[in-house]
Amino acid sequence: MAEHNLTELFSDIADAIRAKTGGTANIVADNFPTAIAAIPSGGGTYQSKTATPTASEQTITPDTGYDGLSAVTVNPAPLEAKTITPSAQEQVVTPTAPNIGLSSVTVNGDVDLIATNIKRDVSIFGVVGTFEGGGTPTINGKTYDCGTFTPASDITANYTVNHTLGRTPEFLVLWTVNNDFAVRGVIGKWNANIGNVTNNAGVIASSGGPAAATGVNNAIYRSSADATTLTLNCSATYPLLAGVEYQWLVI
Amino acid sequence: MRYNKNAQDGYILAIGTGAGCEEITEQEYNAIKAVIDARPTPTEGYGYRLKTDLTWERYELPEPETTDEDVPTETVLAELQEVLE
Repeated sequence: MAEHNLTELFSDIADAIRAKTGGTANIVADNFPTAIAAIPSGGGTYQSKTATPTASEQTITPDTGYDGLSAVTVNPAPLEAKTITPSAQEQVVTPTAPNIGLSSVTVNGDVDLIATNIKRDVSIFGVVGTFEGGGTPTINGKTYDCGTFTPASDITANYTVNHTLGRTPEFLVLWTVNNDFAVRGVIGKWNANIGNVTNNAGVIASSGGPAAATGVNNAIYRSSADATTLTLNCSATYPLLAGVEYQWLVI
Repeated sequence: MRYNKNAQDGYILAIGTGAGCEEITEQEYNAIKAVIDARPTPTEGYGYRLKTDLTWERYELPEPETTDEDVPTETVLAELQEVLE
């Protein structure tokens, strides 16, 4: 034991009393007996309890006959793992009693939820569809593809348009409707002359290197196609005209 | 409907519908179409091409070429006339 002088000894006794009582005030040595006598002597009866969390607040108190709680053991919270499947309606996921929470929520996925399986411009869970049509469109039992293009400026070199037929077309046709010029066309052995009719449609290219003429510049396009493209063999002499909407069909 | 844009080397060659090229929104298609419809009128021997920033650039048109495969319009029309008669 360390040696104390009297002052240090009194100071240590006062610290010991304050440690027991929780007090902070100075204690004069004459009051040491009274202060020590007031310190609880212990020996009460204490209870150990176990509690399980619930959705409501709980107050844990000792039962009658106990002076206090020696320990409170809290069981793990009852949580539930749930799985849901998305539907057309909003779903609120809540735990099933007696669970008070969710440890996880699994949302089922579906590999078929892709753009190509969804109708064009329809959005399902953020996936915007690109599928067009119901079933494969046909003409006389043959699949076809079609589209349009509008040159920004005169196109004076070969111009290629993509199609989705997947095979070399049996027939292709390019035509336009334009208010500014008439169209004359010859397809194979068939002839058409609508040169004096404005605001009319006319074929200006077709399979097999066709003769076809437009009134505005007498453009003649030879055309060819493969499984994925059709090519219009235009040139500086026979350009595709800026601002004209050309329409094409492959079958 | 699928809208597309055919752009090469900083220029928009054409816009269209259907397969192929770079897909664009209908809104972008209409915006480009409006610019094309309002294209400037070039002087003789020149044209305007549309840059991808939707501004126009004047350029000199290539010289028309005559090849063996070219068929003069008059010839085509003459043949037409013969058939029609």
